[in-house]
Amino acid sequence: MEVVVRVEDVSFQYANENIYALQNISFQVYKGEWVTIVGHNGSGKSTLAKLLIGLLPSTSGTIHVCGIPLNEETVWDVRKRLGIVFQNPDNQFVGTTVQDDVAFGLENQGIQKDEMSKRINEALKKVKMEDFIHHEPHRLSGGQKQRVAIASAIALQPNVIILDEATSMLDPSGKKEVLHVMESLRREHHMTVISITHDLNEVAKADRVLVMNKGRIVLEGTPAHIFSYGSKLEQMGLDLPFSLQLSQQLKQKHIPLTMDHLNMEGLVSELWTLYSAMSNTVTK
Amino acid sequence: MMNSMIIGKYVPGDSLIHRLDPRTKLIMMFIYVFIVFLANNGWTYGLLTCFTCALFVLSRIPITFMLKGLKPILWVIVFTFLLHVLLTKEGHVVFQWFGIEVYDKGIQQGAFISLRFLLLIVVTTLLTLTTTPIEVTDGMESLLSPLKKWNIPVHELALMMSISLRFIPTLMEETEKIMKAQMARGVDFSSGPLSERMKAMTALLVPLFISAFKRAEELAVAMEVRGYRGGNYRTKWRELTWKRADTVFMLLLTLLAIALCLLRS
Amino acid sequence: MDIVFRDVEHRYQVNTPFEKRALYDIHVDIRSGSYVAVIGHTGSGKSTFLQHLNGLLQPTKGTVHLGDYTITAGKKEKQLKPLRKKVGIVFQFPEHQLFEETVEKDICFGPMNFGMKEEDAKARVREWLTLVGLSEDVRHKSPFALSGGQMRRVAIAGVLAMEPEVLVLDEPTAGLDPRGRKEMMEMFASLQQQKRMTIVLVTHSMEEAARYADEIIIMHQGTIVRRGTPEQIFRHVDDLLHLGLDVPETILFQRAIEQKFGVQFDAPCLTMEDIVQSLQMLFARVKRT
Repeated sequence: MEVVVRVEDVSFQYANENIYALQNISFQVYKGEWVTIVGHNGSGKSTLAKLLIGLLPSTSGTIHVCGIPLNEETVWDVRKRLGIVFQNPDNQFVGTTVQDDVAFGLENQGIQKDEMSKRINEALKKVKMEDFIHHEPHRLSGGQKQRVAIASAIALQPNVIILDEATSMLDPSGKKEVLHVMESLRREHHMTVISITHDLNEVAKADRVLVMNKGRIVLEGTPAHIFSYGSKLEQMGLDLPFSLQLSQQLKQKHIPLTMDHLNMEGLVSELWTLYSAMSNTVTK
Repeated sequence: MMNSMIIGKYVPGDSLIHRLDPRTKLIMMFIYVFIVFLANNGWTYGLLTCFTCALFVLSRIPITFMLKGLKPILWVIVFTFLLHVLLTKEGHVVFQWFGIEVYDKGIQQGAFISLRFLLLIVVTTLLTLTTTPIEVTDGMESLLSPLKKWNIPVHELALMMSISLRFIPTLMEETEKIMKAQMARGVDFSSGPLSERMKAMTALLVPLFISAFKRAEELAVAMEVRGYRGGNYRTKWRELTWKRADTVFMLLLTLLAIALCLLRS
Repeated sequence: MDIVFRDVEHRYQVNTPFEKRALYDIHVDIRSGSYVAVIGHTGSGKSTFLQHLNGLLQPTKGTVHLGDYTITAGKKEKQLKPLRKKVGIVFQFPEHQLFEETVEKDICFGPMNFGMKEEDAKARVREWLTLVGLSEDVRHKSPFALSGGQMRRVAIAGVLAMEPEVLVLDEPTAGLDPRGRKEMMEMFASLQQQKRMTIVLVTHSMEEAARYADEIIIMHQGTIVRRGTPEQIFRHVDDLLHLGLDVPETILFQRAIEQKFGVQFDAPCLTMEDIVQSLQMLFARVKRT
């Protein structure tokens, strides 16, 4: 499989602090993959995002994006291959209207007007914001602004999109909107996504999860694998899915579940199996 | 809430005037300011008034919006009129009242000057009512672009303008929020001794500045990662297109200027 | 301090083309010492509602009784300051209101506005810091040198320092990580116990409302559509789903179990412990029969 992002042994230290914000980080992201990086506030996950887009230089180690080593000379080249959506919906809206905002990045790349118009329409359609093309930002909800931010990123046709806590300032419906959009992008356009978050729903959607704590990657694997660590995640200040927590508590109360369930359907159906088995033996 | 008050000067519409190129509107306004001074008799003032009224009718702006714009300067116009009426001592005395003599020339002068003033206000208001601030910015950038030769950062200035316009509603909202939060902590913004008011202002301005700086920093990062490296090599999404209507309006204005020159006494 | 709303309406920008009715038909009784959660979508009127609780907004119709205060539409209220002392509001992202050079000064700002002497206020800073779970180390630091979570706690301490009888919280956990959220909510619950405060919590989180509140008020498009204890509210799950609101996962799970097993639990399960207990009982019954 094609590697889109390769991070090798990267460490980073802020100038006036003596502890490392990131220590020996290594991972790869493959084409078409959805990778989620989780960790509590201050675990280093946002610093990692800043390194990936070349806003901070790594103290040691290397980062490759689409085979290009990230350094001072290549930073603009690398940024063309990355799209990023930040946390605050207001502070990344550059244009005075929706279309102007999507156009901003295209203007920077010197794209001609006809092509621009095509890309703006396509990108807004992909995030379902085509009806808002002339809207001003203060007339949009947080979720809508973030969808425009996604459109602005994908209009530049990047190889990978980074969501840097893009849903953390949104209300529940805004979160849902943004996640729906990201899922459809992944399904229909095979977008490669790196999502940095502490939202459980985002973790569950990932192909692969990296858990960060104190500047290191401490766990890596599928969501199911990661959640199997249970209490270890809780100690790091992360939440567990409801069904998993419930499975564990039921086991403690001697209800003989065979596994920790990640979704409700699974748990309900195993409980039903147990229940029917018991009532059968009793009636016999 | 406050948004509508600041940006609200623009009245959305699709009239002939709305659709004119902002450059046309800016140039016309600029020229108009000069040719207003050509008028010096009934004929020329009449012509100028007709032209201005025609512009206004074409804009299809409800008259109430215009009147609302004129209200604050009404007393200036009245004052100008009275000043001329009372101080001009030419022509025949029209009437006398407690030793104040009013001459016919005075009334004429007062009427002309007030009218001139009124016409200027109407035309500039018309510009802001039919043109979005961002169109004005685009127009300015385009008109001033020759200055780039002398290293004047026209593009950057225009971008600064448009970003400020974009953030005005956001910062207004923020101001309101911080004021409310501080009022809930017992701050009184509207009364009290000076020292307390100063303190109140600090409690508003410090958080506001901190937030504005934070926004600016985040915005700068967002712009950078979207590939912004200054004005060179950039293409433009909002391209201004000079249409036939623009040429027609410029010609009309030229004709008006010529007519004024011929008719003035 | 009891809070009573009678037929309250609020319109923004009255007599302008932008006039908007943000709140109408509001009848509410909030008993002194209770914990009330207000839930609704963005734009449901909940933030307009909460600003009526200390006179930041005044009704355009109807009456608001706040303890001894009565705010009636159309009457200009002069002395709102003593009221504001009694009702503290922690706005969303309260850390955005910090402005002093030191944590100590910022916390004392509120009480001093309400007439407390500087030395009295300073003497109690430690107590207020403890209330929000901060240590004395931060006292002389600049609030801007603290982490996001700490800044929020300082801002909350600044409101608690006014010693309000009613504490209004506007999404106090927005933007915090799961641990931060939990700690914050536990802190308010224990404050309510210790100080016998009335708490009005505005939130998006059904889980928080179900877990902590005695009473839930659901707002939709400017008015109150449901009111009741969490049990009463979550008995009618379909109503909530119909309004496009989230339902706590415990309730969803309970529904799934009830459907699959063909049983009916006695009461809505508001916490995970409730579910575990109900399931234990269910399984125990099978064993016995």
